[in-house]
Parts: sequence; C-alpha cells; structure tokens
Amino acid sequence: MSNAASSWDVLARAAATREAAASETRALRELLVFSIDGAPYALPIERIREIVRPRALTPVPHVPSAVLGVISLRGEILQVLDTRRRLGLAAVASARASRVIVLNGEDGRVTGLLVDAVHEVLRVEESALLPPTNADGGLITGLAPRGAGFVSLISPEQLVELDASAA
Amino acid sequence: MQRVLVVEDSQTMREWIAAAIEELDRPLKLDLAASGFEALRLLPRQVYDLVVTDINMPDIHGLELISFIRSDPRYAATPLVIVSTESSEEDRRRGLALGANAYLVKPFSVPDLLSVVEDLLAGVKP
Amino acid sequence: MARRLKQTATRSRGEREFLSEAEEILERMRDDLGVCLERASSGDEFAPDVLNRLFRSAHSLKGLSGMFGLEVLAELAHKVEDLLDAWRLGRSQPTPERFALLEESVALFGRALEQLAAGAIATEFAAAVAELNGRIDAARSAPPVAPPAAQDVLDAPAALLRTLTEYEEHRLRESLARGRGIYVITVAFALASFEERLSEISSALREVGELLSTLPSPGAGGPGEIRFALLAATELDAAALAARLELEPSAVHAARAPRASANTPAAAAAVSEPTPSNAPPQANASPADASVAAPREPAPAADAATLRSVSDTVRVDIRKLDELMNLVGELAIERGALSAFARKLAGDPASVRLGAELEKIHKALDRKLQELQASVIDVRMVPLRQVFDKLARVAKRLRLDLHKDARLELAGADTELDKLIVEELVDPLMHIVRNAFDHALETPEERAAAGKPSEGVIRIEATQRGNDVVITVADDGRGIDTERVRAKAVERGLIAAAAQLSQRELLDLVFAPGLSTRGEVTETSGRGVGMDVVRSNVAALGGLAAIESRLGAGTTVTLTLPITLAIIQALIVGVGAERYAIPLNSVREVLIADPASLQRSGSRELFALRGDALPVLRLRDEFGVTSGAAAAKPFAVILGLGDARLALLVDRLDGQRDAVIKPMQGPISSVRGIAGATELGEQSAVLVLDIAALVTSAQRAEAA
Repeated sequence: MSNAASSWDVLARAAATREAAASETRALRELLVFSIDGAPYALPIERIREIVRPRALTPVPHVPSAVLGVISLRGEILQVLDTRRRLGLAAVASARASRVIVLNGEDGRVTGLLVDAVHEVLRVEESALLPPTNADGGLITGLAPRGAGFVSLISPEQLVELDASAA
Repeated sequence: MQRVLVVEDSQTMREWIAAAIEELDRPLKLDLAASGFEALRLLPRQVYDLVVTDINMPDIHGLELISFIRSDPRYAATPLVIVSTESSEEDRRRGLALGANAYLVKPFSVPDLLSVVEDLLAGVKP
Repeated sequence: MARRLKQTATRSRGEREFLSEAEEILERMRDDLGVCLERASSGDEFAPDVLNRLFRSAHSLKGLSGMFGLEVLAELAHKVEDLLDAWRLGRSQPTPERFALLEESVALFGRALEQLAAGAIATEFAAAVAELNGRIDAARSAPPVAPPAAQDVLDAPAALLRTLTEYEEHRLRESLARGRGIYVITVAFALASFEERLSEISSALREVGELLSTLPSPGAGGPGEIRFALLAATELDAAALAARLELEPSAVHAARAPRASANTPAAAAAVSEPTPSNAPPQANASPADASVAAPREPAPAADAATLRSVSDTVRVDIRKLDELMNLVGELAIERGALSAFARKLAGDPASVRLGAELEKIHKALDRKLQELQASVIDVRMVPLRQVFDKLARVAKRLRLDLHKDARLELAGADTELDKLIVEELVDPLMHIVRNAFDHALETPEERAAAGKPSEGVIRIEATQRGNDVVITVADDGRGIDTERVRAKAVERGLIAAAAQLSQRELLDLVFAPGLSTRGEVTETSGRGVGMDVVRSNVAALGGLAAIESRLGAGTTVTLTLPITLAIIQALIVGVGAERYAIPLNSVREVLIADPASLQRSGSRELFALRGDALPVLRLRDEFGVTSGAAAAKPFAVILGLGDARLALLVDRLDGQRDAVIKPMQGPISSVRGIAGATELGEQSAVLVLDIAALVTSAQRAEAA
C-alpha cells in the first residue's frame, strides 16, 4: 500500500510542476480591447476567431433578451449577444463603429458579441493584472493597466453563460 | 548532463515514471514520448544515455523500438529498460534477447525503478 | 459523447489523472465492443485489430490500476485481459455468453470508477468482482496447444521475425494457414513525414490484407531518414501488391507466395468476398448469433475477379458525404439567387429577352442539380437491416434473461433511410423493444390464463410513405391500462384530478417526462421507461412518436421519420417583418383562412377543414412577433406529421426554396419550436420551424 500512496504523491508533484511551467510561459497575456459606452473592456485574444461588421440579425423567439438574434456568417449560423446588456447597461441602437466579435467557445460552439467599437491588442504581464474591485457575478475577472487607466478583463465563459429560463 | 528518454503511451504512467526519475539526485535532461513513432523522431536527433520504454503501444511496440535502437551504432551500449505489465514469459525473454538491460513488471515501486535506473546510469560515463 | 466523471475537489491530482485516463480507456473499450457486436450481428468475425485494441485497453487498465494500488480493479482488468488474449491468439472463440461477461466487466469497471470519483470504491465491490471473475474463469476453456512455429518456411530477415510479439506471430500463422502471401515491404521516409506515409500504407494494406509488423531501422541516407521493414499478409501477388501500395516492384519481396488455387471450388467462393480476412461464417449461421466461426479452410484467390471486387466499391467517410451534401445544398442556394436575377431581368422591358434566356438556362441547371441532389442523397441511404439485426440480437438476449416466450418478427428491413437517421434510431428502437419484453408481454402463465398462445409476438415493420418512413413496433401483450396511467399522472401532478381526457390523450401521457421512473414502471404495467426520451430523440430527427393500445390486446408504437435530414424543400412564410422556413414534407396543404372557418372553443381555437376540426397555432402569437399588422385573412398552412395535424396561421407565403438546415451556434443550444436555421442566399439567416415540436405542443395544449 505504501507503494500506491507514493504513486499518487509522485503524480501530484508532477502535475504541480507542470502547471508551474505552463503558467511561466503564459506570463504575457494578449488582450483584445473594445469599448462599450465609452469604457474599455478586453477579452483574451486566443479565444477570438474574427471580428466582423454587424449584418442582418434574425430575431429568435423564446430566448433570453441578451440574445439579439442569429446571423449567417459564411453559411454558419451564430447567435449574437448584446454585450452591453450582459454588462448590465441600457440598450441603445448600434452605431457605425459597432462590430461583432466572434468568440470561440471552450466547447467548440461559436458566439457573436456585439460591441460599440474594437480597439487595439494589448500585451500585459500577468503580474500587472489587478483583481476586480467588486464582485459582479464573476463577469469581470481583473483589471489591466492601459495608459492612465484600466481595462476591465471579461471572462469569456461567464459572458456566454446565460440563464436559458430568463426569456 | 545525462539524457533520458521515457516512451510510454499512458499519460498517467508517463508522468509517474518521469516524476520518479526526477527524484534522483542527479542532473538529468528528461524527454517524454507518448508513442513509438514519437520516440523514432526523437532518437536520431540526440544520443540518449538511457531509454525506458513500455512494450504495449499502439503504433510500434517496445520490441521493435529496441531493435531499432540497437541497430544504430551510436546506441550499441545504451542501457535500455522495459517497463511492462506483460505477464508473458515469452515476451520478457524476447525483450532481453533483443538487448534490453532490465525488464520491470508493473506494478513496481518508485524505489524499484530508481535502483535500476541509478545503477544503469552510474555505469555510463556522464 | 464521452461521459465525464464527476471530479470532486478533494481528490488528489494524481488520482484525477488516473481517473480521467481510465475513463478514456473504458470509453474506447465500449466503442470497440460496439464494433464487435455490429460485426457479429452481420455474421462477421471480430476484426483482429479491434480485438487486439480491446486487449491492449484491458492491459493498460490492469497496469494503471496496479500502479495505484487498486488491486480489485487490477484483478478484474486482468481477467478481462486473459479472456481477450485467448481470443486474439485464437486459443478460444468468442461466444455470446463470454461476450456478455466482457460487457458486464466493462460496466462494473465503469461503476468502480464512478465510486472512486465520488470517494472510494464500496467494500462490497470486491465481492461483485470476485463473483464475476469466477464466472469468467468458468466460461474459459482450456487453451489448445499452439501450432508449430511457422517462421522456418519464411524467406524474411531474421531481425524482423525476432521482434514479433506472441500476437503478431499468431497473426502470421493464421495468415499462412489461410494461404495468404507473406511479404516484406522495405520503404525509407524522411523523419519529418514518416508517420503520414506509413499510415497511408497501412490503411491501404488493411483493405487487401493485414499489416503484421512494423520494424524501423536507421536510414542509409543519414539522420533525416528512417527505414521500415513491414511484414504484410495478403492474397495479392507481389506485383499487384506493389501497384496497390504505389511502390516500386523492388520494394516488395515475397517471403512466401500466396497459395495458388485458381481451380478449387473454394476459390470461386472467394470471389464475392472482397476482404477474405473477415470472411463470414457458414451461411446457415443465424445472424443474431454472436458466436464467431473458427478460421475456415483457406480460400485464397489472387485472381482478377478478387482484384476487381476490391476496387468496385469504396468506403466513404460519412463526414465527407456531409461535406458533399452541404456543397450541393449551397449550390442549390446559389441557383435560387440566379433564378431571382432571371426574374428581375424578365420583369424589366429593356431586358425581357435576356431574362427569358437566362430563365431557360436556369431551368436546365435546376434539373441537373436535382439529379445531383438525388444521387447524393441516394449514396447516404442505408437499409434499416443493420438496426433490425441489432434488435434481433437484443431480443434474443432478453428472451433468455427474462424467461419470456416471445418471437420477434421483422418486416421491411430493406426500407432505406439516411445513414445518420438510422444511427440515431438505434437507441429509441432498442428502448421500445426492451420495454415490450420487459413490461408489455405477460409471463407464459398469464398468457395461458388470458387465452392467448404462450408465445408472445413483437412485430417491427418499416414502410416508406412518400418522404417519410413509418416504423411500427407492435406487441400482443397486456396493453396499457389508461386508468392507471391517469392515476399515476394525477399523483405526479401532470394533470388535474378532474381533467377530462380522451383515451388517446391519456395514452399520450406515456410520453410525458416524469410519468414513470425506472423501477416503478412495472406496477403501471405501462411503457413508461424513457418514453419521453424516445419522443425527444425522434423529434430531434424531425419525426414523431405515437402510441396506440388496447387493454388485454397489445400496444403499438409508431415512429414517423423523414427519409433524409440534409437538404429540405422548404415553404417560406412571413409573419410581420420575419420569415420562417417550413419543411415541405410536413405541409399537407395551404389555404386562405376565411374568418368563418376559424372558431374559438374555450381557450383554444379551431380550424374547420372539410368537416374536421384542427387545432390552430398563430405563429405571430407563438413567437411573439410584434412588427407589422396581423393579416385580416391569414394563410392556414396545414401541417401533418404521422396522424397529427395542425393549422399554422401566417401572414404571407414567400414561395418555395431549397434549404440546408444548420444548427444555431451559441449559448442557447435549443429553442422551442425551432429546428435550426438556414441561409437563403441573401446573407441573412432564416429560422426553420420544428414541426414535430409545434404539432406536439399544440396537441399537449389541447390535452391540458
């Protein structure tokens, strides 16, 4: 049995070392900055497939109000979320600079996110990230310094996590 | 610094063997291969001082890998360890006949593995 | 889909890694067992490579469990490994009984992992393993003596023969016994790309024989090159093999030529067997019998006929067909744009002649396109036979397990359906047949008392009706007692105690989620287990499930399914500013809904159609559309699925189009009443209505 117990330990140590090594290489984060209502937000660049201009939206019945509808993107049909509404802000008509950010889901499903405007790609040291100031449902996971201010880092998972019953 | 190659298709086993060998108090560079093919790509690029390999793998098996290693003059004297769940005496005999230096049957303990590895590495000039 | 184990945070990391790998291996074993079952059902031997993979999986499980001190699991894996070892080495033959033990072991192992993930393996588990191990031991027969080594007759390099494992040596002997030629193939590849090249060769070899061993050696061309000596068995001669593998003739060396046998009767028989390594057993073996024939006398035929039969058919990956189907669909959409443009030209006096010309060209294109579409759909069609065979096998096992005297009758096995639909039908049909055996059929004593023949009958029949295939599963069992269904539904809060329900509505409650749960269904004498799942699975295929029953006389479940899923003809309808697509195969007719034919009846609305009263669904209300004003005289689209009908009221009709149904990607995975979406050539998405869901919900509304 001592053999078995040490087997588990050895493996656990190996996993810890591997994780430490992985986080070392991930120390530099690349973020796509966009704005909503004049405030900057960011998503990890590795999760973004492409950025497209808004196109004809087809409304879908029986879905939460954060789902604006579906668009057709080269034959793929994607749901588009109102990022503004997900952040708890009032809805306004989309502006000329509006874009749809196409997000790759962890489960392979792709989602469109409507934002007011898309800005630059920001490179930030992991160590420079600050924790969020208050708990807002886990949607904002941290703050990254940008110029004199900060960019709010959004969790892609939380963003697309909708309560289906809230139609 | 001595180089060690671990060839094992089970990720859990691979990590386990690697972690165990890393506990040796010796400067080592460890490479891990998840399949026989991966080992074939690694072996010609540098010379290893020790190879630890499983027998049962989906692409080419350990006996074929050992035959490959031994047919390369650079590896004529490199110590080879087979780790296997193989209970077949026949396969064990063949493995040793092909030039393996040790044959460990799973389950074995960390000390079992380390004593074999330590001995074999000590016999090789660093 | 791979079932993930629940992983609690208190587990050590090492244990989690072990669990996830073990679960992965087990999943692979389940898949491989499924492949074996399928082969057995069509009377084929188990493929040696699948058996070998199963063996290796069991072997890995044994090793992993042993390393982590889980002796009970290591012991179970060891028994399974032994059983599989004997099969792959030809020392014993798979029988249905032994196969069932294997399935049981895998299930038991899965439960152990679940327990481990939740905390620890229960102590009574060891007893269950010991009991199963005992049965495995009892089912194993004594190993026959191995035949003499065959290597001395081979003209092959010693290095190649020395590295053969016991299994490879067995496969070599087996190939020799079948009279196949044994070849040494020598190839050299760049280190960077050898894996792709080797896998090309090995998959080509698998079609004409078997790759026995792969021996690498350092390349003569320096460290960037690697050489392989491959040992292969096939009935082709050396020249044909080299041609088949696209290699120089000098790369293929015959270690032993195939046994020449052009004039023996066995050779004639082999002509119809493209892959003699998987030759089916004797023709009189029952297809439901999972046992496998012993290696037959060699029947090689390296003649032109064999070669031809190999090359006449190709295996196609279903995903490639999907791709092709999508392309055809998209082509159909482009055609739609062309037609619209032709009409536009024709509508302008300045270009009316050009428009007419273009319209003519478009018509010709359209005809060809329809032929193309029909032949692509045709390629995807497979007969229901494989599902039926599987059902026959399950029935056979159930008969033994449940001690019920029953006969399964199958009709219409040649009815064809889209391959994807056939695959998705296996589970629902299995469910229905299991329920029929388990609950619907009485014991022989009960049947005798009711004056019925002691042998019960379950009849499965498939027929094509237009664009639909109708499958019925009928038994002559005890039938469903609707009063008990009512009592159960009231108890579960599904209906009010005072609800007035017709016999048919009561029966339909069998499909309601939560009517009965496992373990309780026997008391209701009904078919409650998972019938809600059956309905939702069938609905996901765009089909409908219905049930009829007479107390004491039997029950019939009817599944109505579309023949294909891929491209549909759609009726485009408009409501306010929105457009929706309706699969045309469920549209019975379209009428202008005269207000006089619409009538309220309590909270519902009815549509009078030639003396019939149909439930009405106003799409505007159903989907909450607010744009535009509702048409004073809406169109009534009469939808029919199976026997159910529904009048769907819409504002406009926008014509008929081809549509490829695509899933909606995003956070919301399914929307009530929507089957997916399609693009109609203007870069805008149009939602496709889920007719089965709409019809069912209208019926339910009526029943409520």
